[in-house]
Amino acid sequence: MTAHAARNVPALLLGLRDEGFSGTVRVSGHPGGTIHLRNGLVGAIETPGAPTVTSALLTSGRIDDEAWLAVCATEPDVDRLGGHLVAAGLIGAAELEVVCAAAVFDGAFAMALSPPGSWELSDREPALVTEPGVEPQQLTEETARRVALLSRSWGAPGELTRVRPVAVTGSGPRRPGVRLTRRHQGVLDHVNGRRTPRDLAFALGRGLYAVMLDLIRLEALHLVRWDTRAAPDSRPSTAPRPSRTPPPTDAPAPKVVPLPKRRPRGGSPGHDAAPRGGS
Amino acid sequence: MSEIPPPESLNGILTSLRERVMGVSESVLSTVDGLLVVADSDTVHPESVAALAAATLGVSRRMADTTGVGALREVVARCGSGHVIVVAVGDRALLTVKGDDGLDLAAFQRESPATVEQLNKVLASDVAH
Repeated sequence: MTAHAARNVPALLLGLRDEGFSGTVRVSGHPGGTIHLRNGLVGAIETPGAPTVTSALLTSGRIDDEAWLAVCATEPDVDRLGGHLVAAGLIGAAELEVVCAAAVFDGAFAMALSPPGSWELSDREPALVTEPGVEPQQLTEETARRVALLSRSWGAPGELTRVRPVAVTGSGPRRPGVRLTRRHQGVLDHVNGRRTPRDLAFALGRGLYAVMLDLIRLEALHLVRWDTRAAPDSRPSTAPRPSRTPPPTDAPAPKVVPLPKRRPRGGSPGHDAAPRGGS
Repeated sequence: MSEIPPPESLNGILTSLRERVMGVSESVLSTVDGLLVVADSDTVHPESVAALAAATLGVSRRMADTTGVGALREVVARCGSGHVIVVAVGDRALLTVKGDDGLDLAAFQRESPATVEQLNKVLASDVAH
């Protein structure tokens, strides 16, 4: 198999495309991820670096959790879950298609932001895949375009993954002179100096790339700045709390009084004072 | 660049865990009897989490014991849009970690023993004398 000798992940995917491989590519690294291939096309990418389709649909509230679970219960093979979601009227076929394809591109982008490690191929694992899938060539080109665009407009995208933006004081929703779209306002509402762009993407159920672009825009408007705060470190002791009369160190361990034993039909021995039954 | 508290402070250790493991959003260190020690928290109510951590670990230990599946390593609650993990820190403390849906569990399991060890070392000074 030529794919095993590939130089990098894009080359590997191109090789697997030629073979029409259906299965899973597990890429190690930070964060690494799992690429699901169907007939050589990229159906889904799961990585801790970007929300999956499931995350995007559930976190955003697009699909209700209970309805989701009900559909999952009827279809054990997640590959076919999409059709059931559409059949149940939870989402339109076209919308699902857009969300699934967007998640593939976003996952590839997230994985491209850090140097990938090694990879291994394994059998097909069920995943909510886009039909028919994304051409690896197209995926590589789009990822390169996104990385290049961020590099031009902001700087090294790898650096942008580590910022923890905080809202500039006075940039509340009613700031005069600045009209924000609901999307930008949503991002602004979720920045807190702790969340990275990736954390914001998960909190909002939106794509990492889109959130990064919004953050760059908000920074340009001086509504957010990249910052972290140092937390003070004062804490109580975890040492066992001394009792009012300190016991001598060689004292035996306090006697543990066992709970009253339950007796079948006999009532509790702790309630002897209660009026006795007629038996 | 971000300003990180020194790693020997409890807050610094919790912050460092959040920065090293993708998806960790908050963490709470508490005593086994459910009292708050320190929290790297944002939206959770640390005191409530501290109390529930003690209950969670206690019940889970009993469950491990009753079902005979060996010593409890950690409790992982997988939820609709995230994870909650409770691990013991020595004999006297508990660490509760809240993670989002994309929590890198493999990375967490790789990093958490070192974090627990660091926390343990700092907490050891409480009973050193």
